Amino acid sequence: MKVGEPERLIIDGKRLDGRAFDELRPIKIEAGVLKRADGSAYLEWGGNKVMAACYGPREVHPRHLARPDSAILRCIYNMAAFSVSDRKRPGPDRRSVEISKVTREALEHVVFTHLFPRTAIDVFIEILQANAGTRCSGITAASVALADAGIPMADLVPACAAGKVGGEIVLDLNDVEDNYGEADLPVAITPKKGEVTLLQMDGNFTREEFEKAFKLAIKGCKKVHKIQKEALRKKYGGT
Amino acid sequence: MYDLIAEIKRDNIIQTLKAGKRVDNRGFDEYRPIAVEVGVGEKAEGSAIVQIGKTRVMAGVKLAIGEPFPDMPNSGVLTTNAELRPLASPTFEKGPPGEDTIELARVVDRGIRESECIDLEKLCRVEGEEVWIVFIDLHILDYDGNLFDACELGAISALVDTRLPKVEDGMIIYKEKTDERLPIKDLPVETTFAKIGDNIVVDPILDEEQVMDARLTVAYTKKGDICAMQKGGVGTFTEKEILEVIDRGLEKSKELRKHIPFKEV
Amino acid sequence: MSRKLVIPGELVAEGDFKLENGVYREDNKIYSSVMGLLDIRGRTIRIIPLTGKYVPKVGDFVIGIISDIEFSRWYVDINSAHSAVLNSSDYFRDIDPFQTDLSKILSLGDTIYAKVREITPRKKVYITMQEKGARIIKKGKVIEVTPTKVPRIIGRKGSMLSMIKKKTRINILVGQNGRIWLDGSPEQTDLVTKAIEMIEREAHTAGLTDRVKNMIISEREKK
Repeated sequence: MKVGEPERLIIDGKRLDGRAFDELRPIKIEAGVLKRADGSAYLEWGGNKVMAACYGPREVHPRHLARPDSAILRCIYNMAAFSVSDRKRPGPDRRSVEISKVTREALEHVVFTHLFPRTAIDVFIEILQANAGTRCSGITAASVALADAGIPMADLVPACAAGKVGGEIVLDLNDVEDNYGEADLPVAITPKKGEVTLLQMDGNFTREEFEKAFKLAIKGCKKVHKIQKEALRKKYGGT
Repeated sequence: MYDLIAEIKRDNIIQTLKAGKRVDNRGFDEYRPIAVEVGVGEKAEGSAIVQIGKTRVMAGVKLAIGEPFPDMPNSGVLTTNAELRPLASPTFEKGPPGEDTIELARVVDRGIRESECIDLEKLCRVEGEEVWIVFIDLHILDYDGNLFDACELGAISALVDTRLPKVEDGMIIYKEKTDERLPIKDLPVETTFAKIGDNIVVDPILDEEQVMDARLTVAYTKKGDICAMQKGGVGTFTEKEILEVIDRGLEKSKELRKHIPFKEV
Repeated sequence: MSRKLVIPGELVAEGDFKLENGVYREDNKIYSSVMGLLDIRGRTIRIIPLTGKYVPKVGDFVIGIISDIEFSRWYVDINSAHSAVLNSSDYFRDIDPFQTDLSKILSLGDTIYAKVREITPRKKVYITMQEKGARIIKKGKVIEVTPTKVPRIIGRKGSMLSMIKKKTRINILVGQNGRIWLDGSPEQTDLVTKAIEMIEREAHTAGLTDRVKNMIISEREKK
């Protein structure tokens, strides 16, 4: 047993924070919050606070990185030193390099990169406060920032995790559940066609548990998609 | 530099798959020949060379004594590192590890860690003060695709091969190996499928990886549970495809596990 | 007429349409690819973007800044995804690059008002100064607005722009790339800047020209 581990994660069919198994934490997204960026979004998701910005399409430096037939998408996921209880050493570590990579892969499928040859579209994700689920928060915010920048794309990309906690399959793990739960499964989709653009998993699932968690995560993504759309409508004065 | 792939190669691979075949004449669910050899490095506490077709990986396990993490005071420490050496491919460059290398090491690490294949609590020497640290290092020697499965197989084989060195007054005497093995509880393996056009095939060779849309790696425990997953690539999978890959991979994982030189005690 | 606000990935129509900017087709269905307002005229469908970088069109006048100089051409930042190219022959027809130091004509950081002459299929943008109205800008102030708001600043048939010019008696050049040149006294310039900020902020509302006019009049009466 790890230090600080609660005795039980599920009490009387409820989670420690009182949520039902299929309930998301509160999510708030605001589009277009930064002046200098071409597009941006601020997101609060449970205890996560995330700022995402998009620059571009713009010229690529260094130039040899450019593709003659399309734009390149570049993503940087970064955690602020003060975003976690034990100060995180600033700069990229192995975890953030991996998350940057899967974030790019989760988003690139929808972006019409062929419209902007020889350019770069840069996405920057800053985790200002972390409380489990930062990669899903980052992808969700980045997708809104891309739309806010006017980048043409086939669809938005919402992300959400499901997992196993105290033997139960639950949606959207918080940090206690993430630390002491049995499995975590972050997923991102294109809501229109239901394509899976991000899928990672660690922990332990039986085949049946996996299927249940996977379907729950997809349901969560669809709820997150609604909140993304509301944020963009609000910014652009629509109803 | 981005990879420049000849269109003719892409067409050829996709057309061949459409005809129900693969460019190297394998079945969609067929691995290339696999060979595992352990005890290949005397200085390492455990080692293995794994070949899957022409892909070749050497794995080494080194042990050290150090402090546990403060939140897990009675647990040994496990770290996994990969090196895509420039000798293995013209596209690998010297210098600090890139994102592909880091992803590879982290996905292999996840398979080993999450399966709880090593009983880390048995690696505690003095609670809160002194534990065994297990370093798994993966050296890529020849890159012809599917590094994930080769590295995972190499890592678990080297762990199984590991013998603890002698310790005197808290100092390790590396030259003297004891007969004591690592406390192995499970034998995780990873299987990787590539989606190319509308087809999904196991164990992609480099040519297939270069044209694939997306990749899905799944790690299985001996019991058949799933302990790690990673999707890669810009393309996508449908919900149905993912469930299919999991079932096809489970069958293949049983084959792969037979190559781990583990004798039940 | 109020147009519907759409979000990337939203279904906007089904069936046989001619597609212009901001939409894409999958089978028989047509979806938006950008944030914007849905505009269907007859069988033609497009999205009027509400955000995004300037996308050059042949014939547009743009305000550019010289960003690089080569043997026989300038590179010009036009606030777009790519720099534009100004060939020396698009400045003077009979320029001889072997005899001329181009930086003596236009040097780094110089501002020009030029016309988009050609866009190649590979999205290379060529601009020209060999055009009535094109000029070098040597004084005054350039402000930047979201390029998608430029049509609102110009107004229907130029109504907004001519109203502002008439009420403030100031020189204005509007680049389609979101750069606007103002040449007048500091007070005039400040007043027009305020007016343009107001248009940008309230671009989607009706009766804007009158409100901007009233704002200008009341600001001038204050003085």
